[in-house]
Amino acid sequence: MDKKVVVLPCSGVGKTYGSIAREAAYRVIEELRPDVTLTVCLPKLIVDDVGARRLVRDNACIVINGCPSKCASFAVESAGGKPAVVFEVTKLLREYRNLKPDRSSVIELDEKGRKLAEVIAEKVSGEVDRILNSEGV
Amino acid sequence: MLIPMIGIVACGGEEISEGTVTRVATRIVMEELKPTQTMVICLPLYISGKEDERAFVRKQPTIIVDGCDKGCAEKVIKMNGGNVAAVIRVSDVMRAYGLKSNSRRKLDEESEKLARKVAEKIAEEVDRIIGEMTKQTAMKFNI
Amino acid sequence: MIDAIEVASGKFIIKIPRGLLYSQHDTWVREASPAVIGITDYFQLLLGDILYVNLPEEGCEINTAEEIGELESVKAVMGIYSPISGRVVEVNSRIKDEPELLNQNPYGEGWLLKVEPRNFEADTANLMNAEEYAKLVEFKIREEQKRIEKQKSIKK
Repeated sequence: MDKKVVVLPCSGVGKTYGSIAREAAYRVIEELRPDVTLTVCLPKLIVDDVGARRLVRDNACIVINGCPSKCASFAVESAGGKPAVVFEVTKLLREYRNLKPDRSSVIELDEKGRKLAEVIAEKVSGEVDRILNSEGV
Repeated sequence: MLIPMIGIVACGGEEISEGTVTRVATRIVMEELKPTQTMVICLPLYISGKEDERAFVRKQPTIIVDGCDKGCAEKVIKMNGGNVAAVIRVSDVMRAYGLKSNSRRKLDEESEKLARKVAEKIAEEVDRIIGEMTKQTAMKFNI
Repeated sequence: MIDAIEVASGKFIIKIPRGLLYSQHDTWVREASPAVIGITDYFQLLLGDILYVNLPEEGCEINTAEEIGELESVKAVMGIYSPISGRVVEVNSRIKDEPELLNQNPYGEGWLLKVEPRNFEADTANLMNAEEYAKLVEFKIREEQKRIEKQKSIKK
């Protein structure tokens, strides 16, 4: 398999940050860089799924954490991977204060939440290009 | 009882649409069907060792909602000594009701129907567990 | 390991260390020279992940029970009310860039201000010790649960 970039969002279900991280990841994987990116189920990294572990060990990983707990980073590191780039939704929210989403929009993101996910997706795509260019793929 | 008693853990797997169904179903239970008796446990937080999530799952009965037959959420919770009271798999519900899950990013009409069905199954388990707990308490105090 | 009372609220365990004095506005003060002020574990839990911090500057005079700043999360914006009066001699500069310290360690690295007290004894006479504050937190949790239940039953 050609080298790809794994984009792993936190996907927590308790707060909007997880939903924003997840939406940003899907936007990259399905729309912006569909041929060179993919994701993997976060819990699979913990339950000794050989394929999932190999995926994060053998490919560059971009992690999108939801909150400062940095769970997605933890999962990648537990599986023996090393995140190449780490984003954090709460940190980006400090930068993009006008995009603070409604806290109840966990499943269906509101407009601000979607917009923030778009901003993050653009940043992730930029990092995907940078990683692939530097690897000469 | 004022404090929510039953934890719900969704696998939330990012790779597959069933993972998205587990998230939506869990929120339906928490927001609509059983808002006062349930509490969502964030699986990534649990995995990373957050003590609040770990302690709750050790003590309180927890319903696991897994997307596929790999049963990752169930394995993770059991590995760490969680009190698993019920396991629901989206893949089983799909087989039982002939429903499909089609999109991981935003659920379409059929997937939403599936999510609601899964939510109803979770709510049934909540009732069953609370019924058992009430019975046990009654026996303990000889009521 | 800090010596603290623990109060459960759903899946959360709220820590209330002994040895600090607490205000009804969920702030604490540690007697020292200068005195240290911060928010309680209960306060940070109410807010959730804190994103923005607004605090007074060094040299400012602050008064008991007066608003001295704001904390903002996705959930809400909440005022911080000072447990004592005095002059601010140091502001925790780290929490502006790392507000998560307020969530992760509100009694340690997430302290807010160091204050030269104006009238420490009189100001602290009305504050609570850990045991008293734990009772207040339990009461607040019960009231909050009642409010949520009422809200949810109306929604239903």
